[in-house]
This record gives sequence, C-alpha cells and structure tokens, in this order.
Amino acid sequence: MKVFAVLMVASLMGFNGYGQARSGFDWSAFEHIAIQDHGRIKPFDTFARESLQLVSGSQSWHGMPAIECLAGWIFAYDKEWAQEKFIRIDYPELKKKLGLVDSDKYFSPSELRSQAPRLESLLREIARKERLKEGLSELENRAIRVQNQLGLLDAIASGRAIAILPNPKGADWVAIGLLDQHNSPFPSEKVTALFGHLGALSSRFAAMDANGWQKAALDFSGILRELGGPGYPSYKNLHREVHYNGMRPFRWSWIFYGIAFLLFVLSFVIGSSYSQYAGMVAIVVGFVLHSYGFILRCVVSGRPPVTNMYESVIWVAWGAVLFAFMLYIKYRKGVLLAASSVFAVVGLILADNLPSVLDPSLHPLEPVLRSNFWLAVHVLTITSSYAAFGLSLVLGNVVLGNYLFKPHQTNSISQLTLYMYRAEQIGVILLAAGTILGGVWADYSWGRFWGWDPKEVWALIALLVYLAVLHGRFAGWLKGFGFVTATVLCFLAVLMAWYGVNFVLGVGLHAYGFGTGGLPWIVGYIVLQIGFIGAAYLRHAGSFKSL
Amino acid sequence: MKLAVISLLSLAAVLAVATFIEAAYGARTARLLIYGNLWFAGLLLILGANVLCAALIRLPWQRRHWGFVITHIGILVILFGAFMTQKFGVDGSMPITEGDAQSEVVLSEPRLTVMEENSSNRREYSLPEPVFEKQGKLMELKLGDDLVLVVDHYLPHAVVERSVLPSPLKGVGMGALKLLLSNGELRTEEWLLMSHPDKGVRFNLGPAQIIFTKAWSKNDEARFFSSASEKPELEKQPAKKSGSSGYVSLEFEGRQYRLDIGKLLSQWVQAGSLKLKAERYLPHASVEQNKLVNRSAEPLNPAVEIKVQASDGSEEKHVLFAQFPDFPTLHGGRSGPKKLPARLRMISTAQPNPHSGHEERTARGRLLFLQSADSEQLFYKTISSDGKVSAAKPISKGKNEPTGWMNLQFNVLEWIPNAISEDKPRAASQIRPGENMSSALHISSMGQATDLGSKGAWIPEGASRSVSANGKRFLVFFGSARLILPFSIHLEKFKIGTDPGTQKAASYESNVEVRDLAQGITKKAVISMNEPLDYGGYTFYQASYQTEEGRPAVSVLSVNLDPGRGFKYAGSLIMIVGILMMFYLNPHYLERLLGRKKQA
Repeated sequence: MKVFAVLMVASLMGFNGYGQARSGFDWSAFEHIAIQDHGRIKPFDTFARESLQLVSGSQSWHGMPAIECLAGWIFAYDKEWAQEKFIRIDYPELKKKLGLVDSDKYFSPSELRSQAPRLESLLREIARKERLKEGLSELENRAIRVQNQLGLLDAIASGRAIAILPNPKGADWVAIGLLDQHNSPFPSEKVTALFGHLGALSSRFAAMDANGWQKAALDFSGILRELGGPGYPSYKNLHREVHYNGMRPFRWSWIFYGIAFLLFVLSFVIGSSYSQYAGMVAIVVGFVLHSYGFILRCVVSGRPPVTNMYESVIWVAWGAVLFAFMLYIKYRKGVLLAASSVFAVVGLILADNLPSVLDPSLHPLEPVLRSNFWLAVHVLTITSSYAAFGLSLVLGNVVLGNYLFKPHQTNSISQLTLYMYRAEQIGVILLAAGTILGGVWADYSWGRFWGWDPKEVWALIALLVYLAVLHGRFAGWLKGFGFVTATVLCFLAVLMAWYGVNFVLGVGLHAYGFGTGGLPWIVGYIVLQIGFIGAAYLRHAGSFKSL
Repeated sequence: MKLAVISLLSLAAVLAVATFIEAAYGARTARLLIYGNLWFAGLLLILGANVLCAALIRLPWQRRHWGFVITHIGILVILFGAFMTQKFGVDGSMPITEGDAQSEVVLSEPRLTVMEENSSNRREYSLPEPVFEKQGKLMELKLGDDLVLVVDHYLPHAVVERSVLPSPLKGVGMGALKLLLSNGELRTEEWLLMSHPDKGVRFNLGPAQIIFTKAWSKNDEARFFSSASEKPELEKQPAKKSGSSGYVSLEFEGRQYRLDIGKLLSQWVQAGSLKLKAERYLPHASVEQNKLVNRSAEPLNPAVEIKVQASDGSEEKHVLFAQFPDFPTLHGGRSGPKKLPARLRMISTAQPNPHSGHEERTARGRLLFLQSADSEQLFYKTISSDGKVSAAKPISKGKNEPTGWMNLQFNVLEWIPNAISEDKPRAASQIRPGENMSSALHISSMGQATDLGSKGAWIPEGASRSVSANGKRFLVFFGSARLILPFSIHLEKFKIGTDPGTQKAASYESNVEVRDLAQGITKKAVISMNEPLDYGGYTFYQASYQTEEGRPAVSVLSVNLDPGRGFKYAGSLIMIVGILMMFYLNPHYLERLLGRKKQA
C-alpha cells in the first residue's frame, strides 16, 4: 500500500486552492534533505529552485522562497496550489492553441488540465514527428515545455519525483510516492516511523504550526539519514550547495565590479587617485568573490566548469578580469581594469538574469565529456581566448570612444591601441592552441582530428579573421582607426563561435551546449556596436568637428 | 602579404557560409556543396602556397624571422597532414550486433548493389549524389540484356511514411481501418493497421482504448456478439499460447495457407500439392560462422527451417525469419530441377517475457472493432470503464457514432479488409538540425516488364527491394560503400551505464574480441567512450549504440585510419612554438613593429 497517497489525500480538508505564505517557518532542515534528481544527488533547496524555475520562471513566488513552494506542492497541492495561477506560458500562439487567455502570463494547474485534450493532440503530432525524425516547430517545442511543467508538478505532488530514500539494493533511489509499506527494501518499523514523521510534516504544514513543522522536519531528515546509512551525503556537502544557492556569489561579484567601474570612471573624470584606489579594492573584492563562487561550483559539481553556456560565460568574465590584472602589472593603467570590469559586469548580469537562456543548474555530463583531461584543457583554453578577445573588444571600444570624443589625443589613442593589441595577441595564441587542442581531443575521443564540425569551423573562422587583421596590420594595410575597428568587428566571429553555433545554428557534435533564446540581445549589441563604429568613423573622417 | 589577407578572409567567408548550409540542410549537404569539393581543396592549397611563399621570400632567414618561419612551417605540415588524411585515410563506422562478428566498415559514399538470387552475380554501382532533390534519369542499372532499371528520382532528406492501400492480390493483406475521433476540442485521424492479424491492433487515446481484431471463425464472432464477457478477447489471450510459436504462411498456386509451427515440427503437413515440415524452430536465431544457431529461448529473432516437398518428390529447404520477411528464404538443399513458385513467410506470435514493470491498471473505456471471419463485415461495440458492454452493431461507413465517453464520437472513414502498407518516402518538410536524415531513391524498369509495374518503387537508404522479371529475381540494395577489413571484430557484450535514477546513458562500452585469422591472433579488448582500440593500423572508437526492446543491442564503432595524424600533431606543435617565439621571445622585433606603426 502506498501510504504517501493516503496521507496526502487526508490533508485535503477545507481547501481553497490558493497559495498561502507561512511566516515564521524555518526551512533549513527541510532544504537540506537530499534528493536524487536528473542523475544527481542534490539538496531539496536546489531541487525546489530548479523546479520553480521551470514552472514559474523564477526562484521565488510572491515572496515565498522556492523551498516553501515545494513543500506546498508536496503537502497541499490540491488545497493551496490547484487554483493558483503560477505556471508560466509565454508563447502567444501556444496560448491560443490551448484556448487560454492571451493576456495572462501565468495559469493554474486546473485551468490547464481542463485543456488537456488540446495539449494531447499537439503532443500526438509531436510524437509522430519524433518518430519520423522531422524537425519541430517553435510552437511544438513550447508545448513540450508545458508538458514538462505539468509533468513535473504532477510527479512532485504525487511523490513520484521525490526520490529521497537511498536504495540499499541499487543506485536508483526510491521515491516517497512509490514506497510501499509492505514491500520495501527497508525494515518495516523504519518505514512506519518514516510515514509517521511524514504525516506530522503534512499536518503541521496544514495547521500552519511553525514549531511543530520544525520538529517534524528534523525527525524526518534524521530518519532519512538513518535509512541511507554511510552512503548518504554528508551534511557538509549538502550545506555547501545550499550555501552556494543562497549566497549567489556571482551576483555579489558583478555588483562589486560595477562599483569598481564607476569608481574608475570617477577617477578619470576628476583625476582623483583615491577614487582609483577604491576602484582597485572593489575590483579585487569582486574578483575574489567571483573566484570563490567558481571554486564552490566546481567543488559542488565535482568537475571543471566546461559544460554549458552559463559556466563558460562566468569563466570568460573571470578570465577577462584576470588578463586585465596581468596587463595592469605590466602597464599600470587603470583603464585596463575598468575595461575588464565592464566586460565582467555585462557577462555576469546576463548569466545571473537569463536562466532560460543560460541555465545555471548542474547536470550530469554527457558520456563523451566525462573524465577527460583533454576536454577540460581544450575548452578552458578556447574560452580563455574569448576572455582575451573580450578584453580587447572593450579596449577597442574605448579607443573608438577616444576617436569619437577626443580625436586629438593621439598619444593616449596609440597607448590604448597597444593594450588592445596585447589582449588580442593573448587571444590569438590561446585560440590557436585551443583549436588545436580541440583537434587533439576530437582525435582522442571521436577518432578524427578535424571534421568540419560547425563549432570547429567557427573557432577556425574566428582565428582566421584575427590572423587576417594581424597580417593586414603587419602589411601596413590596417593602421590606427582601421586596425581598431577591424579588431572590434572580429569579435563578432567570436560571438558566432561562442554563442551562435550553439544557439543560432544548433547543429554539429558540440550539441551538449545547445540552447535557445537570447538572440534579440545579441542582435541589439551588434546594431549598437556597428552604430558606434559608424559614429567614430564619421568623426575620424572629419565629417563633424565637435559634439 | 595582401594575398595572405585575401585568402584568409575568403576561406573564412566560405567556411561561414558552409556552417549555415549545414544548419539548414544537414551535414551531408554541406559536405557535398563545400567541404568535399575540389575547389575547396584548391582554396586550402592556395593558402598553403601562400604560406610557403611568405616563408621563402624572406630567404635568407635572419634571427628575427625564426618565429615567423617556424609558425608557417607548422601550418604547412598541418595542411600536408590533412591532405594525407583526405587521400589515404579511412573514416567509417561499424555497427555490430551483440553476439555477432563484423568485418565490414560502412563508408559514407552511397552505393547501389544489385544481387541476383541464386547466383553469385553481384554488381556495385556508385551513385552520383545530387545535393538537392532531383528527378529525371540519374543512372541506369543494366541487369540483363533487355532488363534495365533506371534511378529516376532522388530525395536527399526523406521521411518514410506508411501509406495504406488495398492489396492487389485477393486474400492477401491485413485489415485496416481509418478512424476519425472527435469531440468539441479534439479531432484526430488515425489508421489502425492490423499488422499482426493474430493479436489485432490497439491504440490508446487519453482515457480510452481502441481495439481492432479479426475473427478467425464463427466462434470468435459469436463471442464478440455475446455481451456477457466484458473483458475483451484480446486481454484474455495469454502471452504464451502453449505450443504455438506462430505460423508459416504459404502462398502457392494462388492460394494462401496458414500452418501452425508446432504442428509442422511434429509431422508433415499437406498444403495443396505441397508437403511441409519444420526441421528446427529457433526463437533467437543468429548466424555464427555461416551456421544458423539458436542463442536463447527468448523470441528475439524467431526463425524456422522448413522442408518443402513437391508432388514430384523434389525437396527444398527454406529458412524463414519472422522479422525479415523479405530475405530470400531458399537456403540450398534443393533436390528438384527447378525452384518451386511458392512464397513463404513466418509469423511469430511468441512474445518476449514481459519485464517486471508495474502494469497500468486504470480502467479505460474501450471501443472494439471486429472484422468478420469472411472479411465481409465490420462490427463494433463499446465497453465503458466500469465494464458495461453495449450490443455489437455493424458499422456504417462515414457516420458519426457516439463512444459513450468524453463526448467522443468516432467515424469509420475507410475500411480495407485486405490492405497492404507501403513505405513511401517523401521529402522532409522540415530538416531537423543535426540529424543526418537518410535519403531515398526511386527506381523504375525500362524495356522488359518487371514486377515493379509502371509505378516503379522507392528504396529508402539502407533498404533493399526485390525485382523479378523473366523468372529471375534480383535484390537491389541502396546503402553505403563497404570496406572489408582483413580481420573481424566480435562483440561479446555491450554495456550501458545510466545516471542513477534516470534512463540517461552515462557510459557505454563494448567488450570485443579481435579475430585475425590470417595472423592467427585473437585478442580481447574493451572499447568505451574515450578509450579506443588500436588494431592493424585502424582505430576503433565507441561512437554510439542502438537498442530496441526485445532485440540484442547494436554497438556502433567508428573506424578510422589516419596516415596524416603524425603530421598534424607535429605541425601543431611547431606552429605553437613558432607563435610563442614570434610574440614573446623577440621583444625587439615587436618594438620595431610598433615603432613602424607609430611612424605610419
């Protein structure tokens, strides 16, 4: 008999179907419960955040933390959540197809359930296309997303997804909703005790009893740890991840980078060295937090940060600041640090705020990426080159700004051009080395050094255009303004290799980083960049004398 | 120098275009249009010549040129390595079924192979591979003096769809039903095709299940009409009917016979003027060292060996595979002067052991259709989820009838008692990025009439089609070119590890044995992701796998021979050293460059 279902039905008394905030509840014991999900053991806290992110598109709901929503879904789904409009659907065409109100952004489970036949007929068409291996339309991909949202909620509410019992007989943990009291791998008195604590959790949750909940949560997590035995993840490891989730180190580091940037700008404007020192302190703090977050993430995931777009953005932002420090040591110019802080702020803000494009959650690796030394070396080298190119891009734009606003300060322009050139050189070497290392890895892993795969090809294109610029400069074709402009434009090839292949082309063997979204941002950037170059050119060519 | 910039940029531009082509039309199109072309090699060659000239014009080299020269030599060595790979390398794949041995490597060039039945006559044609869909006479296959097949239509990205047609032969085919289901919200059309006449076909729609079966006798019909039993006949049928492993279907002299394998195994069975007996029944047949053996009791690849005796006493031995009805069945052992004009097929009813997953126990509403034993009539009845049975009624075509649940109505749009299904490729409406879709071609006969008729036939990539004319039978196979290695790889075991708690593959490995008879070597090895096997100059990588319920796994290895590898590695190393020297070990060189720029 599945006790879980009975317990949860018993908590159905007096429902109104809307979410209720529980003040005074302590979630800490509950959020440290380990759960097996998507091939990883993670704390409830992470699971709750990821689930709410998928369902509602954010990590809290009307001020309720994700963990509270998760508890609500488990213990009071029908009572508090069935009528709550919290499932986010963005695609207007899909809303029309499902018979939903177009102006709404969020929908309730019961509302969507009433439209199940419409969704089902869409899914049937999708299944047919999958069978034929035909491409899916955007509408169909969105329909799959809705299906995933509903499926996840259903699996949580029914306890099927709540795999929190380590299985003594295998690697697959047992879901609480599938645990059968009379036929389980655990001693029956323990199972009875487990359900007792679960019942207490459920009733204390319903009764809004914060103290009773806290005690029940401690008892419940205690018995799970007992059932799990020595294989159960240590509190320390679970807490590290909860700490990482809660602290959001990358948010803090972009804030500090932002402060640093403002202080540097201030120092350039008023010429105050105090402001420059304060900026130095801020950027160092930002960098330390950035590094700390990064190390924490590596420790939590147990692997180098080489697997998805989110991690690569974080890494590239970090690398840009690192290269700026290196160049600063040589040239002692604050503008280097200011430029890198701009790049890092933009990168980290994007990473922090676009979870649907840059997915921050940790997933198990694709088989081909596992335990591979060459992979880590190859990806980190390539992405480091992006960092150097990013720095050269910002410096290039600073030079263009000078052409636009202070065209007569040729001395500072040629100084800045030199810094840009230095960053570009670092980038070229790293990109050449990284591309070759990619070949080495591909040879080792796939059996061919080079296969004209789009990601390889775009890395090569980026390398070729930067080489063309360096050769053009060497030949005397490109100098001054032209050289700077060409360098800035070359970054578009990097963007294509970095973002475009995965998000625009979406083909090839580097499929593990594929995603969608974010294109308007990139296009917006390109338009601005070209406009800026155009303005600087007009000024440089002497079309107008002053601004 | 200017030439260098131009060739760098033009290469970059061409490559950029190529990647967009790949995104829109797939890797094959990109290869055909760009990478695989002679002019592309030419472009690389120009770049190479350019690099060489750049190094040569600086003769005699001075100290400050070293970095520059070394870098460019590195590039030349890499390009030379690439040329070696292109010219002398092998890049293919090798699918091996668990328990089988394989020595064939599948290459990417498409090939048409024509084999004549009962003869060693075998011809291979390499196919001009058009980039886009092409109609018109693409190539001719001369099978005989007067027998010519023409490839007249080529689809680079084909989607194979099943269409249902009335059978051209009387008494051959299966029941087919085109059903429209609708209520206010929903409208679906589905073909229900009784591909397994003994088991019927079932189709789930939300909380409802639709079941289409055929009556074999008046008894079956009577049972359908009695409303007493609310469990459908289908579910009463046990997974394993004792003694019955299936049937042999025989077409001979315009008649069709259905002979129980159990019976055939115990005695000679008369069918028209023929007598048949089963020699062996192999639930899990496998060919090992040219011998047919059985590997387990699980019906994974059921086969039966049949002896057929004609009235004149001549005998033939046939091997029938349930899953491969198109295989030529005659396997030697013919004692008579000419081949019997009989067609044999095996229909297996044995089912693999259902695995211990929990069964769905939710009560469903059911809609049952029954095709009468004489295939003249179609009846239906409904069973509600609580077991209430409606009276069985005959169907009127094209009329909406209520099902009794969910306001759902059904409408039998078409009913074909004896239908055949035909796999017909069509051009894909949307190409899935990254998916290598298979191609298809269409053949028709010229000159002498064949059984292709006037319409000709489609052959999807990887499939074959038999063509008979004038008493001869040919098999036309459309696939890739093969390379036969001088040794074979035997796949002993294929293992998939999943991420705990998911079905996602986390690792996979093949336990293989290399059997090199010429050298007298056998060697065991494990090939896994990132852990290849080197043998005989070839490298075998774990590339992917295919699994299907109830069949042994197929491990796909990629096979590679790369004589340019050493050059590429050496060139890369030389280049990196050169770049480092150029940028960092020669600061004077740089200062001078910058100085020159300032002057400019």
